Amino acid sequence: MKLNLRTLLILVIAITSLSVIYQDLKIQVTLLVLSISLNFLSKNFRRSFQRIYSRLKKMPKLIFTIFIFQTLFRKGGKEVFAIWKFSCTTEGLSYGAIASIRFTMIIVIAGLLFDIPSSKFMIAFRKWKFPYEISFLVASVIHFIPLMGKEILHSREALYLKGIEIENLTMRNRIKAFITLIFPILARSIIRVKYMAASLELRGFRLFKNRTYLHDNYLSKLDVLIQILVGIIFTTCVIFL
Amino acid sequence: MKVLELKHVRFRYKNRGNYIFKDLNLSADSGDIILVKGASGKGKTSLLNIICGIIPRIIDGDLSGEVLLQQRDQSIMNLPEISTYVSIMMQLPDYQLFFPIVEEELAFGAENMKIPPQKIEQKIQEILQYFSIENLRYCETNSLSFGQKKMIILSALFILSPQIFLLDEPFNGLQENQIDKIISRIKNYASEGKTFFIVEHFDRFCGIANKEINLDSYEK
Repeated sequence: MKLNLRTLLILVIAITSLSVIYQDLKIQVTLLVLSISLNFLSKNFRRSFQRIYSRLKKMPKLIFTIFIFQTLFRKGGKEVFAIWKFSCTTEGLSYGAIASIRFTMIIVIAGLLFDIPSSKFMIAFRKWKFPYEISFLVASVIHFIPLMGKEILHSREALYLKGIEIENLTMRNRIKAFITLIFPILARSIIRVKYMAASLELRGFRLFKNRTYLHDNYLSKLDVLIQILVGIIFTTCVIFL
Repeated sequence: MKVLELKHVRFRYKNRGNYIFKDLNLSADSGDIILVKGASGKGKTSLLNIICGIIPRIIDGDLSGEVLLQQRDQSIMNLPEISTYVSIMMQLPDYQLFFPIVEEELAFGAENMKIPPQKIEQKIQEILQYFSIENLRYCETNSLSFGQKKMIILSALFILSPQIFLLDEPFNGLQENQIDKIISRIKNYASEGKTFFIVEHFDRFCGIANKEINLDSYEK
């Protein structure tokens, strides 16, 4: 099932909004199941499974930490057990589960948008009457993040070649190494951004108020139907739940 | 017809003592292919940056004298306006890639110039076929090699097709067959009246130029 990006964006916004609005375990589980199903429906089953798995396998520590913090610091309900000054309550456990599921759900639902080229976002935003400059800015940030990641990787490799293995350093030395890494990266990024800005304008960016687009995108009947349904379901949930 | 004139250009970078150019005068006609030569630090890249307006708009410095693009004073134009006359290929292609997919990169300039989509499509197909890089059309720009990135930037400039092309070490990192194709395209464009400034260190490219600027011989 190939949906238009605007439909996917509406689905993502609706599902994450409902997840934030409702502090209910059943609703969170339903939204998580819905998010996973949408991922499976969007591309082929195997690829979707691999994508979700590869994203989630990096997260268990973080999800567990969220669960612990929510559980220990949320009071209310009956006490289940107590450790030193902290007591674990039924409400705390419930909130811990809700927060963890919500976080997992956000990762899963965001997966719907991960492989989409930035130009498609720009077209989608244009259709929603967003100014081109803003959508270009968003797209550039999306494009720039992996480049920054690459630069950090290259700098780390340079440190390895000098015999410094960050993993084996003490926390203090790690911070020192990080500072050594981050300043050249920032300096290079500033220079790069300066030249990129010039290069951008020298290719006619903002020369005219309007521009043409190589590709356009149109909503299929299915997209329209899904968008209407999402609108109705979202409104109903907000009013009646 | 004169497409570019530099009159009494004097320039030095901010907070630096020496002037890179003290009294630089040059002109270019339509159809010229001009090879810019000189040792490192003699101002080859600075010259291109002055022509396209990066100096002093983006890179600060003391600049005086006149730069005329087709008889129009370049100093009163902004960079997007200058882009209708001049395009630059920088030494590092990463400074000129904005999009994750090659096709988007190629279309960007033409879209800004309000070229109709059908025409853009035609131009993209033509240039990719010419350089035999059709396979790169839907590739991620981040995953390309240095040479491939340069080919994409060059292709984007050819699609844009301004009056003046400024190419800073365009052949660096490219294969022989690609260099031959680029040279042939440059000659072809020059015969149609386009003007090229090419910065290169190697004398083997002297043959393609009809003019030469040796910055070693300019008074500092």
